[in-house]
Parts: sequence; C-alpha cells; structure tokens
Amino acid sequence: MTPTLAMREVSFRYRDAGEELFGGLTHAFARGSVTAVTGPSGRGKSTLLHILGLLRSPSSGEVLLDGEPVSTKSDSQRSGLRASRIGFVFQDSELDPARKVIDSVVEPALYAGQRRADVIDRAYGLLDDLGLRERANHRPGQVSGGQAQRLAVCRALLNEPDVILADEPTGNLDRDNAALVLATLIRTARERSDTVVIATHDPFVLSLVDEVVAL
Amino acid sequence: MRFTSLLREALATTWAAKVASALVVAVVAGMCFAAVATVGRSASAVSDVAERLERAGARRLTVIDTKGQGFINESTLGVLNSVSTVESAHALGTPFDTVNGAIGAGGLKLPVWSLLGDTSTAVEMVRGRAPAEGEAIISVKTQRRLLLTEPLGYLTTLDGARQFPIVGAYEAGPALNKLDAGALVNVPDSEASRELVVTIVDTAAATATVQAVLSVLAPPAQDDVAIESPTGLAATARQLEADLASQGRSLLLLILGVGGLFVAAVVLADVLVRRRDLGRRRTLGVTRTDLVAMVTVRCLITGALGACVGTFAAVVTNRMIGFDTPPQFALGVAVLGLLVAAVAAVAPALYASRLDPVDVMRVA
Repeated sequence: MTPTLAMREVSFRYRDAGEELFGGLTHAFARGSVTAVTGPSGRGKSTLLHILGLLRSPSSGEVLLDGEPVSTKSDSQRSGLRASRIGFVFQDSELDPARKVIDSVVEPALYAGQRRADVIDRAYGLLDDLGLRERANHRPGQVSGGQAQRLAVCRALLNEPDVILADEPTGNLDRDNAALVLATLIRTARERSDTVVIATHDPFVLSLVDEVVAL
Repeated sequence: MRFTSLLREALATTWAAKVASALVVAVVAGMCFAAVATVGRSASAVSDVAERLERAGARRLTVIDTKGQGFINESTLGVLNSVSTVESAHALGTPFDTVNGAIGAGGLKLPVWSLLGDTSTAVEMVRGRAPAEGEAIISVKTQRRLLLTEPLGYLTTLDGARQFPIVGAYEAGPALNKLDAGALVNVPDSEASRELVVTIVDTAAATATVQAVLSVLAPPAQDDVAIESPTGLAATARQLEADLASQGRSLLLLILGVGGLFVAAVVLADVLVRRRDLGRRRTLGVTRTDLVAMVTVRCLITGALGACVGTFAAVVTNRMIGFDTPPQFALGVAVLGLLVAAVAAVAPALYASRLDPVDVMRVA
C-alpha cells in the first residue's frame, strides 16, 4: 500500500551555507503509525518537519503525498495541501492570543475553504473528546499550558488531515499533560489511520512511538 | 478561503489589534478632514464663482446706439428674442428727468426711461398694474424717496410739458437693476430706443451672442455702436475657476499622498508586530493571496470608518465657519481616502505574504 507520506533522497542546505542536512534521506511513513524524528540539536529535526509540512522545499529530493511529489508544487498548492491534508502541532501551541480558543480551533478549516458554521459542531466535538468544552470561549491566556497544547491538537485534527506533524509537542508540558497529548495523537493515528510524525528528543515520547528516525 | 470567512477574520483582527486599527482610522480621518477642510473651500469658491456667473446681472450684454441711428427698435428686438442664446432682450430710451407733479419743478429729480420689450421679464410689479400708453410706474425705491405711501399721483417733465400718471410700483430685475433708481413710462413707438439690454443664457455664450446681436442690429459703422459684454468677465472667471481647481487638485494629491504614506507605515508596523500571527496562519494553510486580501480588507474597514468620520467632521467645520462643501466633493474625497488606504495597504500586505513562516515563528 502506498504510504500517505514519504520522502525520497531528501537533502537540505540553508541559503547561508553550513553543512548539508539529511544526506539524501529516504523514508516512508506508514499509515496509522506514529514516528518520532530525533537526534541531537542542530541536526535538523524541526527542519525535516518543515520540509514534510511543505513549508520549506528540499535542496534535493522530494516529498510525496500518496505517492505524488508535492514539494515542488506552487506555493498556493502547497498552502492548500497544508490546510486540507496536514495538521500542525507546535511546541508553544500558537493559539491566537487575541481571540477565543474556539476561533483558533476552527482556523484551519477556514483556510481550507470551509464555512465556520459547517465545522463548529465538529470543533466542539473535539473539545468534548479532550475535556475542553468548557474552555471554548476562554482566551488562550486563561487556559493552562497543557490545555493549550490539547487545544492545539484539536486544531490539528479539525480538518481530519492525513498527516499530523508535531514539533516538540510535549516540550513545555509536565509528564501527565505530555502523556495526555501523546495519547491523543497515538489514538488518532490508530483510529483514523493517520500518519503522525513527532520531532522530539524526549525519551518518554520515544518510548511510546512505533518507529524512530534518528538524524 | 471563502469571502465571508475572510471578512470575518479581517473584522476579528481589526478588533483584536485596536491600536493599529485606531491609528489607521485616525490617519484616514485626518487625511479626509484636511482634504475637505482645505480643498473643499477651493471647491466651494469655484462653485460660488460659477453660481455668480449664472446670475442674470453677470450675463448682461449692453449695446448703445451712440449716434441715434435707430437700429434698436421693435423689429430687431423681436428677432433678438428668438436667438437661442438670448434669455431676454429689452430696449431703453434715452432717460429724461421728471419730478413729482404734486411738488413741481423744485422737487426731487427722477430719471425716467421708456421700455421696449416684455415688461414682465424686465421688472416685477409689486403694486398696481403695468402702464398703458402715457402712464408711468415707479420703483419701490423711488416711491420711498418720494415719501409716497402708495404709488399714486403723477410725474411731470421739468418744463411741465408732459405728465405721466403713476399706476404702479416695481422692483427691477438683476439685468436692469439701474431702473430701481427712477421710473418707467410707456411712450409711443416712434420714440427711438438708444440702449439694448440682452440677458444671455450662459456667460460661456457671450462671444457668440455679441456676434449674433451685431449681425441682427447691423449698425452702419463700428463706431455707431458701443458694447459692454461679460465676455471678459467670463474669461477671467473661467480662468479663476481653472486656477482654483488646479490648485485644489495639487493640494488634494499632496494630502492623499502624504496620508497614503502614513497609512502604509502604520500597516507595515502592524505587520511587523503581528508577524508571528501571520506566520502561524501561513503554516496552517492560508494562501498568500488570501493573506494580502485579509490585510487589505482590514485596512478598508478601518479606512471606511476614518473616511466617514474625517469627511463628516470637515463638512461640519466648514459649515460652522461659513463654507458649504459641495456634497459630491465630500463624497469624492471619502471614496478617494478609502481607495488610498486600500492601495497603501497592498505593499505591506505583499511584504507580509512573502515572510517566511518558519523564520518568523522561530524568531518573533
């Protein structure tokens, strides 16, 4: 079966020189699996996630979604793919500080061309699943770090993406909240056959994932 | 991204970034206020000049039969009244002095004219009736000077040879306002008129009308006729109007240009402050086009508010100090202010769309 997400001979070099990263890395991320990308600082864990998330283009090689090369598509097409097929979880949750958290959760759906009214029930359903319903109308500053990160997971899941990319999602969380966030991501991968890729150096995370890509 | 979603997001960020939004409102309001308060007065002056030119007094063309050749008569008057650029034409005889017949030769001397043409378009009767042959009507001003409570009695020439019963009072129209100084008599047609007063429909037609009048009157020689026409006045007024309009346009462009730069600076500062927010949106999938539209629409919303506030305040201020701002000008400035705000937002919006989302989320 064609993997949802794969990369073929990917290398990357920043414009201001420096060493080449990844050295022609090829890897297929299996459906329904959780993969951790790990390695020492500076080896490009986050950069690899950005390449897989179509935010950066590899210097050589390509990223494939359902077997189709996508890293060379136009910016507009890559934006569309990010909105509809890829969910992002950032280290700092990145909820809009000026708006209610429910507005942050529905945000990717708007960029994917959906109406707020059509996705709002789904958003509340996700908040229910993660025990955050009562926080829907709070501001990000009024929720804890763990809750904010679970809200970020809700946002990543809203469009029912095929791929979820999480960059150090538990980096700022205590062990209980980290376990909760990871459990949600792992359950999502299992139930929906999504591909989850997590950039991390946390041994706790590494102990829970299906596969580890070491850089 | 759907337009309604885009509008909703633009409104939400407008409300969220209150300082930047208030600054854009203030800059656009200031721009529109300055434009209406300064250029609006020029527009008002231009409008005033045009209005004055349209008054009948400014559209008066006077022709004098200097040698009494008799070419100003009922026949030529009839032809002139049918010329398309002529609103009305009247002929006046040579004025002569009269006094109040009840007082006699020592009384106040009054100039009296004979009038050829339609009396109703020359003067407005306020008391009594139009004079029959041999009768007179006096101006309201003359009635007051003669201390008459009613326009009654009679006028007599200084030698007492001719008497004219007074049958009414009038107020002269703007083209023949000199008639306010005396009285009008209805005399037999045989007495030749010496002065022709033509009211032109538009000062712009002054030159053409002068040529038409001369061709109708056909004076035997150039020096048989003296002409006072508003052609010079019209030319001066048009030049003044053009100068004021040109000056107004330059000032308006300057105000809009400076205002546009301020708007661009505010939007750029806001983009730099919010670059992490914009980076997040790009990461989550908003396209560059939608991001540009979002920033621009947001500026349009605040710009619309600023344009309304600034224009309204300037119109009220102008009115308070005695200027009436032409409504179409005020509306035009508001629309221009809005357009300038939108155009000024495009460059910062394009810059925002080109920011690398990864870099800004890492650094900001």
